Amino acid sequence: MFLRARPNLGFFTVAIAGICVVAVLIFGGIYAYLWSEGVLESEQDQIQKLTAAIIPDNSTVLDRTGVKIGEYFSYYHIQIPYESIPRPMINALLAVEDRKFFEHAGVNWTSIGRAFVSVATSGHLKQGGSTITMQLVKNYLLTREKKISRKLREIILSYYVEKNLSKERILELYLNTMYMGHGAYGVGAASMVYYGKPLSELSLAEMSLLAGLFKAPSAYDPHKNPTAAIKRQQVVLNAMVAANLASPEEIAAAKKARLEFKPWTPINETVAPFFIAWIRTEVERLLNENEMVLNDRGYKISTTLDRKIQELANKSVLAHSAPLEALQTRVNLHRKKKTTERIEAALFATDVRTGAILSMVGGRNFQESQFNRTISSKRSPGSSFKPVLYSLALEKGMTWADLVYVSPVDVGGFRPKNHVGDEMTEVTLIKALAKSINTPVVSLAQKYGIKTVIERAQRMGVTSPMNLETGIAIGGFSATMLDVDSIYRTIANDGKQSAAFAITKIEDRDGKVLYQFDPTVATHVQVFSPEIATLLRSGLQAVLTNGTGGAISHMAPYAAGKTGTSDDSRDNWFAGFTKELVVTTWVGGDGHSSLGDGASGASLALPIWAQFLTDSMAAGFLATPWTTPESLVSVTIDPDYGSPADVGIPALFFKNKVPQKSQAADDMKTLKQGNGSYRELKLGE
Amino acid sequence: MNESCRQASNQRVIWPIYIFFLSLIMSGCSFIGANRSVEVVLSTNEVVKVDLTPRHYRALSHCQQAISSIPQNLFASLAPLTNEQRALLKWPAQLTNLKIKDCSWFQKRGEILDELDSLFSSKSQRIGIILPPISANEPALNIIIAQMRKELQREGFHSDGTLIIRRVEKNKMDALKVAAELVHMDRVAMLIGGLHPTHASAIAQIADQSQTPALIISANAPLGRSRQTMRVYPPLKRLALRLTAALKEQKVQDVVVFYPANGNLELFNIMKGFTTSGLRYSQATYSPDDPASILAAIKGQTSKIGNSQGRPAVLIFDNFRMVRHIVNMVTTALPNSNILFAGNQQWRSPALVVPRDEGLQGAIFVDFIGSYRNLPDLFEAPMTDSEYFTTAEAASRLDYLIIGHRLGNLAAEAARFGINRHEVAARFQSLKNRWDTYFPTSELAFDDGRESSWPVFLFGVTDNTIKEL
Repeated sequence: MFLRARPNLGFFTVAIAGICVVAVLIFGGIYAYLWSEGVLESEQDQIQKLTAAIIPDNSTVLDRTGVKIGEYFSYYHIQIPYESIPRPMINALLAVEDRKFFEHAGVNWTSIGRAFVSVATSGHLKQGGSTITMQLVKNYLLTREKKISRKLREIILSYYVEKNLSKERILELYLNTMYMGHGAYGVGAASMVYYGKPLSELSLAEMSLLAGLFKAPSAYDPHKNPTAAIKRQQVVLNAMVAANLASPEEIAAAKKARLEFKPWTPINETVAPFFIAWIRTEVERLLNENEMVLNDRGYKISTTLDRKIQELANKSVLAHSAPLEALQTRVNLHRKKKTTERIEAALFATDVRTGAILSMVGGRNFQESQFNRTISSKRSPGSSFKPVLYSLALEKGMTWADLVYVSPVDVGGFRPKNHVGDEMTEVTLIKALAKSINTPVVSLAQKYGIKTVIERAQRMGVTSPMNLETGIAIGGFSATMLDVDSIYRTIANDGKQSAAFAITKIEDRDGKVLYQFDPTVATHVQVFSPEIATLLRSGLQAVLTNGTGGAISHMAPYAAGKTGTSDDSRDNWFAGFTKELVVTTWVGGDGHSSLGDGASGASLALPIWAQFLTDSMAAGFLATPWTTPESLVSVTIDPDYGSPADVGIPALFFKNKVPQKSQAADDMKTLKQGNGSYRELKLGE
Repeated sequence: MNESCRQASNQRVIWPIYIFFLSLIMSGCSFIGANRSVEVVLSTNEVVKVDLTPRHYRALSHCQQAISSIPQNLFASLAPLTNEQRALLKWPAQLTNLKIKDCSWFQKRGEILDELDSLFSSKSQRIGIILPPISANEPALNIIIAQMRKELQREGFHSDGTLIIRRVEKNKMDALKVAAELVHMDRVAMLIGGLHPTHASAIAQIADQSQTPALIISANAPLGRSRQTMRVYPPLKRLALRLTAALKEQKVQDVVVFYPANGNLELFNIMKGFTTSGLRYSQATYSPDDPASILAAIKGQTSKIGNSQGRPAVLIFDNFRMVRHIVNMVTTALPNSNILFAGNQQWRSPALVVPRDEGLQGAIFVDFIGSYRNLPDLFEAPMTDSEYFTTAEAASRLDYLIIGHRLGNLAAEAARFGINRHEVAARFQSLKNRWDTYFPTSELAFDDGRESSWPVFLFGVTDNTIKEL
């Protein structure tokens, strides 16, 4: 019995042993395989990524009223907290992707089994077995390679994710991070990309289409393949019915609803593209983080930009594109260089009192050229710089009625010319400004000293470097529009200069204030007295009534400004202000080409300026009348001789310097009109 | 002298006939106070009738005996009259043919000459003015002559009849002829003119020959050697001296002068003539109507101004308007150069200093008018806030008014003397100013150079006004 049993035991033992060995080998192999594939690696690090996950969010730029006007992102996100996600959106997702989501523990074995059977019977996967959790794990933690080991790891991690995160958090992560096509991540971004409106405003029909995109964003892209997208939407809606996640009536209505897809234009390129691009560098400057990447940080950047004014500015520049295109064609016809000249226009507006930047149009078309000509371009300001000189002249006691001598001058080979050519005449100071005569300004600069002129310009806010050259007097240096704006804002703001600014506050995604503009500590330098500023303003009004800005003389009661044209009309400016706004416009070629004889600040930049101001007034941005200090009085003077006159240029004067009938002026008049050889006593030959 | 007498005695004797006729005439008409008509036999045997005033007639009678003793070449022996002879046209020429027997008459020649002199010109109370054809000077001349008339009127003369104005082309022969006519036919007490150099030369010559006082009214016409000829014109030499001295006081060494190409440069020329002043001059001209030419003129001089060892001076002989332009252009080209700008009366205007020009601070100029309150009595300058300025319109006019005033007073003086012309000239040389407050009363009317004495003022520019320095 014993002996007979021995062989049996031995066989059995051997068999068991063999089976054990085989099992050990098999499981050992599997274990070794799983180990080698990393399936059995510690899940803690991986899970940590999800539990501590911060959903990426765009940094947004807000206008002065808090409305978003731009955003910075690497991938387009609009984070929406779970509680803000519309229920139909969640239902549609659950119906088509994972109906048992709230029931399983991360893995739906039934679905996996069904998928396995499907693969076994048909040879390919007809229906996926992944739960939402598994998809999240796959997208967030794993690669997209199709390997059993990856799937096993997915299952394991999904199990652990479910243990560490709530269902709602998993859904929130899923709905905010999954790729939805066209660079958009999450349903919030997808809503903007496909419908151009926030998720909260979508209908069931629209949300159901978005739910269909999770499967294959590219294949069901409603912009590229609307038929497939609608078909997929129907699948989603049917699934909702099947899952009892919507009533048949709702589904029927959704199926009938006509969907309107809007091509997505990033907001950065629609409202104030040049401004948004510039703000990025401003944030970096203010936070002193040169390498900082704003993208996806979810910062909220509050700015001073006025959306309405910006729209009017965009419109004004756009409205003059046709004549500028024609000019561009003409310029290129005569251009000897091989490269094509691009004629551009720019507009910059700030608030008189605060220096807040209200609008910034850096070029005619951001898509074609992103170069911001308001901030980055350095061009000769031409005669638009002259108010700096006139501020000195008035401060040193000159009045608008004083005669200045228009004579050709030569300063070490520098020979400024007047638009009317060489001439020798006398005009009042105000007429010299209004008519933008160059030579008196150069003479004034020489008398006051170029260094003094530069110091005055810097005090008025010019930051661009200036060399000690006489040409400075007539704008012979490179300035930004910001520089020119500062000059005119100092005049408009009663002689007080303050730096222009655009950012009022920067908050991180948690609401922590990283930067706050404090107007009480902002620098306000009193460059010259309010009276001098008012005198200057009256002179700049004369530019409109009696000078190079005559085309908009009707605006003189509430506006003042100055043209500027650099050599060969390479740069054409108009800078001016109302009581509320400082507006600077520029037209020129990026290649610094001459724009021809007919081109000037008056013919090119002024029309844009005028349209902008007219439109802004029509839109309710009133230009309120100026008040005049009691120490000043308005007198109409003869533009050529400075004597009080019934018809002439109205200008302001200090009460103790009111122009009287001037013997000096009479003498000059007599000499010019009569006896040119005054007291020569040339009797005899 | 004996030789002359011998030559005279050899000439054909016609004087007895002449004396005969004269005796008849004089004895017949002496009781009549009206003009006497005499017939004169010319050397050509032609007989002409000549009207003589009773005075002339008496004079002729008075010297009848003396004439008989005049050597026939009297005029040749007495230089002034010899030359005058050539200018005489008709009957006076016969006097040269008088024959004499007794040369002892020469003792009385002074008396005879006086009488002849009287016969030919004096006591006419007329003033001859020789002017060129109407030119650019006309407005100024009109002012001058109008003022002369006023002055003569004020002195009790009938202005219309006193001034005889003759227009003459610009050649000497014509001028000589007209000057002689004025002297010998119109018998003027004084000649005025000389606007053209040929006129001045002719006037000086006739004045010299006829011992007639003459006033030249141009800045640069030569006066000639004759003491009879004097200049009545603002005092360029004095102005030049004063300006030169002022430049020296300012330690100026280099002077750059800017002036219009057709400008009046007499003052500058005189300044240049002061070779002992030590000033170094360079000059540049321009066309006032061509601003580029002014710029070019300045550009050509900037290195000289900039490189001056002492304080550089820029003289501008142009009006205040051009001065302001040039100062503006120079100071723009050469800021902080401490340039002393200087000039003449053309600078004088409020427009020079209003508005204030930094470049003109400390500038100086000379003028022959000080305060406009101290002008001659007859006219008043329109006053401004400053006594040193009047209106531009008045300023140029006043200059000529003063000249007219001066000429009128001198002409009245000449007419009033009522004696022989050469005596007028002699008395002018010792004449003192006495008419008004403008011309210094302590001075002689004419200086050693026969230039009319005239005040000179130096002005400096300070802020918005000028001050007399």
